[in-house]
Amino acid sequence: MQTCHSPLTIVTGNARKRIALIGQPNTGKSTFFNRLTGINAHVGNWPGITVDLLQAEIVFNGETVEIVDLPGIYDLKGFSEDESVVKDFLSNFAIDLVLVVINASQVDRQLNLVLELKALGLPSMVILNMADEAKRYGVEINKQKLEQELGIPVFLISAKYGKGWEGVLTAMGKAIKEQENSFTVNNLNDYFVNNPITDSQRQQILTDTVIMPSEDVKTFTDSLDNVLLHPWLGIPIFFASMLGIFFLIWYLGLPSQDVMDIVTTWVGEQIIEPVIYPLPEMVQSFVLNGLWLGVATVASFVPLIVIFFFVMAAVEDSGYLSRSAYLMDAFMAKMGLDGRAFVMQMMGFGCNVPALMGTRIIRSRPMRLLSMLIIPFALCSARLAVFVFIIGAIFPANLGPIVLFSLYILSFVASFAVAFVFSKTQQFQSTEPFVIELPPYRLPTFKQVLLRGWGEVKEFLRRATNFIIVGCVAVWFLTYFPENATGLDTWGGQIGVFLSPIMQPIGINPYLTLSLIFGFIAKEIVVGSFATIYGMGASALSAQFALTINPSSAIAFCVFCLLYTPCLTTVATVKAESKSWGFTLLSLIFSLVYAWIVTYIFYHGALLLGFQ
Amino acid sequence: MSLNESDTLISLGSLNKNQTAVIDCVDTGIYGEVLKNRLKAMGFVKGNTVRVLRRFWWGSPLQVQVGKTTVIAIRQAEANLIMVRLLCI
Ligand SMILES: Nc1nc2c(ncn2[C@@H]2O[C@H](COP(=O)(O)OP(=O)(O)OP(=O)(O)O)[C@@H](O)[C@H]2O)c(=O)[nH]1
Repeated sequence: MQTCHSPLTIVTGNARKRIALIGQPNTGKSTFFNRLTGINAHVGNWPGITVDLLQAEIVFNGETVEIVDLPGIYDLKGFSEDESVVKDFLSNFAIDLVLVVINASQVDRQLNLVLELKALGLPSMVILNMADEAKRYGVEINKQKLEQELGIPVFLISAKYGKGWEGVLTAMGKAIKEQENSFTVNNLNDYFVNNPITDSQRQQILTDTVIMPSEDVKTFTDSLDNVLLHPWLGIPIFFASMLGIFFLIWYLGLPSQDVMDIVTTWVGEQIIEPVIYPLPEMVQSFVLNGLWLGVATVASFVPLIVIFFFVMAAVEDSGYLSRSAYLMDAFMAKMGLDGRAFVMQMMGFGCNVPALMGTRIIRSRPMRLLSMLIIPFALCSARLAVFVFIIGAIFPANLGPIVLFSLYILSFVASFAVAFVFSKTQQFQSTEPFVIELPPYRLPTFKQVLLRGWGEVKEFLRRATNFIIVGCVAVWFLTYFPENATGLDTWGGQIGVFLSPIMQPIGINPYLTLSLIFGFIAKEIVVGSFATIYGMGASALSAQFALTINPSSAIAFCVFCLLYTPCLTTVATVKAESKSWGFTLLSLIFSLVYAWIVTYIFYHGALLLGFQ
Repeated sequence: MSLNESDTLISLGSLNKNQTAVIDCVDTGIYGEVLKNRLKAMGFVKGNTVRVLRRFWWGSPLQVQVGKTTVIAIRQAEANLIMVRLLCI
């Protein structure tokens, strides 16, 4: 039956009243949400919803209210993934109040969303955000008139700088208090088919209440774009800034990992060891080399993630990140990706983990998964440590840098080759058109950047900790038992021997295979594990390597180490970010097979070239 | 407006740098309604003005100003779906 009935269903008994934030992408919803909730935000659990939604509990006049930040959408009846999420949310979870966040300087094109919500009859408030920018553009809005015509309260504010904030808070408190019913929305699309919002309706309201600037406004953004998006200057500047960011992470982020390692090692040796001393040897080893190693691994990523997201938040807020999509598009489009994936790939050269988390800026799921599939092939700093050791031990000093540089090139080529091939498959083919907004350049505020870093770390800890600790314990089992066994006699070593029919053809002996099993926890451990496996110190080890491993095997080992299963933390992050075991397994198995094939080619190529 | 709109429909993708035009309609391409909706929400509605700010290497993507306060990046293929009338000054 097709009627004009509102698709709203009244639901009584929302135990805790719920406010939802809705708005187009980039209108400042997150900024608004952060100002409202501070550091209390957390990812909520919404059965059936496939993306992470931030939520927080806040108290209005003694009443605890739940507030949820929904993904940015262009249109309520839209068909993109984010729009489906919002629709699912509205139909499954009752809402007491909707805040529609609008970029005031673009009210002409964002009003549609308000009209849609008004048509549905959901209790709403309109937040005209970015009042500061609207003023700069010369956009004038008659707030009273707009309120009148919409029949919805309207607030002109700046979420970033806090202007008009008190007014919104008071009104929210009042509105939520007076609101007795909760609503769900079903069959929203059917409703709009029968009751479309007409252009004339929108136009009428705009004519009555908004004066857009009549002349083009020459802004700072235009002048900056003339340089940063210049056909010839744009790319060099982009690469220079990428390099700058990369070095920042390199010189600030990676040493922070070492500092954390010193702390966890100290705690392990000075506190845990004495405490567990009376226990049997096996339990001691389990606690220290299994459990504690897991905790230490997690901890070592914390400062790195904070620093990475400080930098990313700053780049994102500045508006340069979407420019990078424009700059790199011609190149990335061929691989089914866009410039944002390029930025994350570059960041992956520092550390894969935050780069994987950063892919959240890619809104299309197939494209995001594709980006997540190739990031683990980026030569991260931990692998670099392995390569430097092996290359130093085996190749003459003058050849070393060339070998290392070739590995960087290989990493780059290997990643994009995978993207190129996979982007042709259905699963990874992006269905979203390439139309993105280029917001004006903005100065990030310290508070924004800080909150972002904090939020990301909390997320990382919540999602990856268990996985990493379990993984460390599993590897401990493989390398501890049978008791008193060492090297190839352990279960892990036996696996290395067992795998030799597969690994010998690519020039990797069982000792090295065993070290790769250790490397599953973290690539940093590989070098350390040589000492355990061979039972000798670092300098003796170098000599031993030079004697027993020929250059082709060394190359094979490096190539395999570059492409095979990334570290446990990376895998945990892939799982957490993709929310799919299927994809995580695909990523794992594919990287093993890919590593083997590429290594085979390199090993035999090197043999043919005479690197005996 | 004192400016004249040309009678012939051309695509946004065929505009040169700094040319201004008035939007007429958006064709449904391979992306169907998704793109149409998206473009509409970005300000591609009949009567609004667009201006090509610059094109990148080999012409794509385009940087386009829609209305007075929105700037977007769009690929050539998608820009070809947007039909406009050139503003003759
Ligand atoms: N000038 C100005 N900038 C703002 C204001 N509010 C937010 N911003 C900036 O606008 C940009 C987008 O803000 P976000 O809060 O990330 O927007 P969002 O709507 O959550 O975007 P999505 O996460 O894409 O949905 C950021 O760079 C903010 O710093 C404001 O009131 N004035």
